[in-house]
Amino acid sequence: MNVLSLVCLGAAGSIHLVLGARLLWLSRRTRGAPELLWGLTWFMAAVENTSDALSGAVASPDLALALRWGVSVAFPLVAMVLFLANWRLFRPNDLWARIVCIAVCLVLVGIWIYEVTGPGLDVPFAGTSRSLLNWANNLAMTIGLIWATLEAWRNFRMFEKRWRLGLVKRLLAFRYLLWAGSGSAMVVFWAILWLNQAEVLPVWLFDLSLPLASLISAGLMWVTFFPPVWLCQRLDQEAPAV
Amino acid sequence: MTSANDPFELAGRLLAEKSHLTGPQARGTIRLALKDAGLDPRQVASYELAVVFTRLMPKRLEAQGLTADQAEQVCQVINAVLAANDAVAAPVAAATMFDRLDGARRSSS
Repeated sequence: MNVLSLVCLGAAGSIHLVLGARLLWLSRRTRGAPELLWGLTWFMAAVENTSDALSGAVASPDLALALRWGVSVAFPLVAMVLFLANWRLFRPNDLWARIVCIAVCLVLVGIWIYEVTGPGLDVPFAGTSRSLLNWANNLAMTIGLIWATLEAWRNFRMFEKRWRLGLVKRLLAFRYLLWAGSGSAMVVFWAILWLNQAEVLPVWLFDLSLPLASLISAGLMWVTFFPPVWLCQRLDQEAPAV
Repeated sequence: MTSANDPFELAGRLLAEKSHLTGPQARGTIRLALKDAGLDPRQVASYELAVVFTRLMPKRLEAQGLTADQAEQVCQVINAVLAANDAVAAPVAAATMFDRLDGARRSSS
């Protein structure tokens, strides 16, 4: 990867880290589970990605091994929290969403225990393509993000219709549009990772598209949760056409 | 919210009483109007349903064979009952999250 790509990925990771930390900080005051879980998802994802990158760069083998262990614990947790966030945010009253969350958590924990206790791997995440946990995690993250993105699009359509009847503010509908845009970019990010794993993507395209998708997603997610004042004022002035 | 003062159930029952529609037809017609308004029958509040009955239901009822006057009259009667019904809808989790976060941000700045 070239320097520009690394800078973009670093910027996206930093945005996710600060976004997650800020949501966690605010959730202490609001006492709301949705913001706590969504904040936790992005904070843990950022920490986990940083640890993953550092584990390949540190000179000390002991520290590298410790970081790999940290990653192997954090990565399934991120996927599990993502599913829990989807359930609490978008489908709190639906039994099927609760069942899906429980099933995903049980499967990931089960695979983690199998890989830790079973033969073959010293660290569950080591030798990524050989690790069943890696495949299961990537699949869970992809499905979890697709779910969140579809829910965001659905909510955008619903709130857009409500705004046209004067039932909600324009900003609320627009936030879901931003959320859906961010989620779509993140789904593209994961699609690129899958294509790269299948070795069907040219290197230059991988280097270009991955940081771009990551940065777009992080930027849109930030504006979704912390929209600038000028945007709020502008959208507040927009009245629905009667 | 009990089924007795559930706005959707209440409106469906009233619509069936005040028109030639059967109970399932009445609820189905309201369901379609709610879909047009981006609302969920399980979470709709009385004031939201009142807006739907003012803005969207008259046309839906005309399509079901009522005259424009009949549709208007039925909607007015149902709106009057809905106005007296104080059932509060279950809030949409993600929408209330934004309200809470904005409130917390404002109070901390």
